[in-house]
Amino acid sequence: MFAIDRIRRQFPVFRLTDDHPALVYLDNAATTQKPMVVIERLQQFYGHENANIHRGIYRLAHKATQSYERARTKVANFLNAKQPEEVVFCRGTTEAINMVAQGLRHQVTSEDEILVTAMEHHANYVPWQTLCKQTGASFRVAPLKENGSLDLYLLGKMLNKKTRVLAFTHISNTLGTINPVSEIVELAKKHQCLTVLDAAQSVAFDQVDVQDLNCDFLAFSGHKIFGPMGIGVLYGKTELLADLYPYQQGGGMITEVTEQESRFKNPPHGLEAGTPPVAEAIALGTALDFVSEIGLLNIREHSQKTLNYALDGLNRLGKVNTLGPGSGTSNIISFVMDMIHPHDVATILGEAGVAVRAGHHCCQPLMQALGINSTVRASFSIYNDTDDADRLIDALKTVQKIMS
Amino acid sequence: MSESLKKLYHDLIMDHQRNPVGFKKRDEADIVIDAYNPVCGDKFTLYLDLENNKVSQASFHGYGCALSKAATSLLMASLPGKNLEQCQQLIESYLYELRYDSSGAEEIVKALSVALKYPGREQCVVLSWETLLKFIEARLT
Repeated sequence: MFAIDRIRRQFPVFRLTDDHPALVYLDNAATTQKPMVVIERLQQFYGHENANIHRGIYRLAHKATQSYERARTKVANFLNAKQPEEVVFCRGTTEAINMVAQGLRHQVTSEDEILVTAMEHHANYVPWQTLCKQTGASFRVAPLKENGSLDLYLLGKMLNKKTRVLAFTHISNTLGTINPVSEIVELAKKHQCLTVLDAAQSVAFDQVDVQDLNCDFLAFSGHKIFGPMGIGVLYGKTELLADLYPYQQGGGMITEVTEQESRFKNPPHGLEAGTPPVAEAIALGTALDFVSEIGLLNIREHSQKTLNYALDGLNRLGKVNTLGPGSGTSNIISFVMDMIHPHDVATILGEAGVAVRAGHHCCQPLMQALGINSTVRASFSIYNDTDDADRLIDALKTVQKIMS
Repeated sequence: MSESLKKLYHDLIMDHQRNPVGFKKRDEADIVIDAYNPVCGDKFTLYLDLENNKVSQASFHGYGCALSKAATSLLMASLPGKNLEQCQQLIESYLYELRYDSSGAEEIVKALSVALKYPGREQCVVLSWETLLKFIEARLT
């Protein structure tokens, strides 16, 4: 039994206040709310454990370093990485992907091709487009089928011996489509092509096992898995991380600096220039413990069930088109309402205390492929239940009434 | 439904959104300006014809929410017969009424001003107006 009341009580944002009476929060794909344990962990660090890491010889600094490195181990275990050294802390998914793209800059040539898909978030699109402009490599975009799923046949055809990188998302942040990662990685491996997986939406929804998926790199953000903003993770296979040129240089990442030359540390520390967000990394570890305690299988089952309940209500409303082939398979759903602009929907929903996202969801190429300008997106998490779904549907009825 | 929502989606606004004034593509117009909000993706093209330095025809086309469509429709309805200086004054007073004091404004401007109370909706009611204002300011200097 999924103890939703017990879970909800751990999130202060859901306590009734004048600011947001009975908040129905369905914007989890943008960021998740924070449980008390995570907030307290940040407070504990800044209040009682604050020191910079990897430098001080005193006890406080040593303890901070230990906690930070322990968080790295937690992330490694969470992803089933072979070793903690495969985990690089960074600001989030966006920085992780930029780190890989710019880290490869000196290896990619004008002969190479970089392949992404038409459903990527700008974070897994623009850095590759830029890398191609810098190096003269060709930027290629694997198309979607009419129903919005990835066309695996065409993807397979586009992969060739020139393809240096295939960057793709695990779960589409807009459509909720789940891509068959292992199958895609296998296709890429036939051409010795590097695979970069955007797991921003999947880590808080399903078990992500990097050894099982066999991707070369993987990126996610702490704030989408109940952790703090400003902390994220780049996972990379050891030998591949070592090939990345550090895209930032400075303190903490060097072994020796002379007047004309510098030598860098091995990963992960060689890729973590400057003081990292220490408290946030530690609190991310706490968030992962929180998730593991509930269990990702439970989370998946619960969010799917809630989403399917909402989907059923949406379909019964009429004049609502849900998008993508993944309707009901993940925790994200996008829809458009006949002749009603998503921003008008979101404003009226917002007034009813229902928080959804309206817009292009940082996926302009996807919107172009689908021939639309924007959608309404509802994304569910552990604290959402069928009451939330009912409130969404009721508010949508108000939308239809006002806009008819 | 809250009073505030009723004010925002006022009949005057909804009439404009359902039957917008001059909702017509006219690539041959004397002046063609794009009004684009990259945050939400709203995009209108404004088409103006000038005769003896006065707006003889104003129309628009494109995609936007009820509020941006109504606000643009109102703009199109207000322009004909005015020269660019008069258009500039009209837009400046609309923006002033929206932002600072709509007590003496027309009913529809009062309704549109409610948008400013909603997070992220100010751009909807000023997008076309501000875009045209920038164009006129550049033209007149």
